[in-house]
Amino acid sequence: MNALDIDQVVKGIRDLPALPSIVLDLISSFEREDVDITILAEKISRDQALAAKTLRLANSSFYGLPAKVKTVKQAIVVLGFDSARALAVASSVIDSLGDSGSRQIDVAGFWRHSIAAALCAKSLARHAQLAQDHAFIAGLLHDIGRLVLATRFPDQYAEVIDNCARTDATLAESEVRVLGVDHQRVGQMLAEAWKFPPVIQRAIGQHHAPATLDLGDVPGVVHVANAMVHALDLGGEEHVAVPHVLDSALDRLRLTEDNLRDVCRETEAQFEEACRLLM
Amino acid sequence: MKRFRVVPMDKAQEGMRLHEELRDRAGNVLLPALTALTGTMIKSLLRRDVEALLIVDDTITPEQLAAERRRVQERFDYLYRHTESGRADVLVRKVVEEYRMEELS
Repeated sequence: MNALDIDQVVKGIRDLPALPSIVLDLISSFEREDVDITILAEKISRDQALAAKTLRLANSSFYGLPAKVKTVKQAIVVLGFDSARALAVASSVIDSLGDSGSRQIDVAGFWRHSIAAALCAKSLARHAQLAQDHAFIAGLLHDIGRLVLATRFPDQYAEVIDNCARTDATLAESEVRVLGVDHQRVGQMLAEAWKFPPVIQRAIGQHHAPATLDLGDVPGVVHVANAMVHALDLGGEEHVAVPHVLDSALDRLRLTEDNLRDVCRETEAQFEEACRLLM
Repeated sequence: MKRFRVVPMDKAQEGMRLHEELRDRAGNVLLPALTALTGTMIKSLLRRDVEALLIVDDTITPEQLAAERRRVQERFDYLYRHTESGRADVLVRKVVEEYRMEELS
């Protein structure tokens, strides 16, 4: 029996590489309205790696800014604080957990799928007039529980993969069968530990079946984005399947066929550049 | 299969067709998709410091395209092997499939 108890999962999360304190500050600012952008810009500037990355992102063709940005404060002013914060958090999380050396999942494919979901969720959120940067982060981290399980519990996770291959069950079904917990729950626990806003925690924890009240919000967006990027097949992972999309999610988000077509185009147009910048 | 190739600006030639619309860094459309380049356009793009163009690849044969369409169709069938056929599932599949096939038409 390989089922995990919650204490083991909590310990697994606690043993993950710590995020830099400036990134935890940025995460905690998601829910604050009184954010002092100047102070945060100074903090980012003091973290050389994060400052360099923020400038690289701001000056990339991803944003197509007409003039070169030279300081973190300029980057924040030009990109907008929400976008700059989302990109800084995204690149730090990928740096911290990115090369986790897992034998059980294709880590590059994992991040490619996650980045595609982030871009797709951001684009869907724009069409649904919701918080684009919350959607971007939630899309990026929606499957993070898979990475936690595969890196902290490699032997048990090998059984999950084996179960998937033998039975052609979905990953979440096999995780529950073998481990007693799935990647949604583990991802939500990590998002709680990192103190992301509750709506992002729920978007990660319920991306296969958001609660009814969340269908018209970021969790509904991430639910649709996950299916769309699996259908677009951008992750490059061989044995995957498109998950079910709730009719009520598209209805509550008021997304039309034309919106979805634009989202395909926007996601793919930015995808390779985003992978190059973030991975 | 890519229906385009990346051509450095200094190798651009008259008659080459743009695979997609060309935009400047501010997002303004300079030329629409499928524009056939003229000498004047090439000079203008060089002046604007455009580095490379996505040019329609006319070397792909109809047989190669048909084979790629079959491969994409089979991949969709595989990716959707578990998926229930609710209204939203059908719509998402239709949109993405049309989007993919449009590239191969």
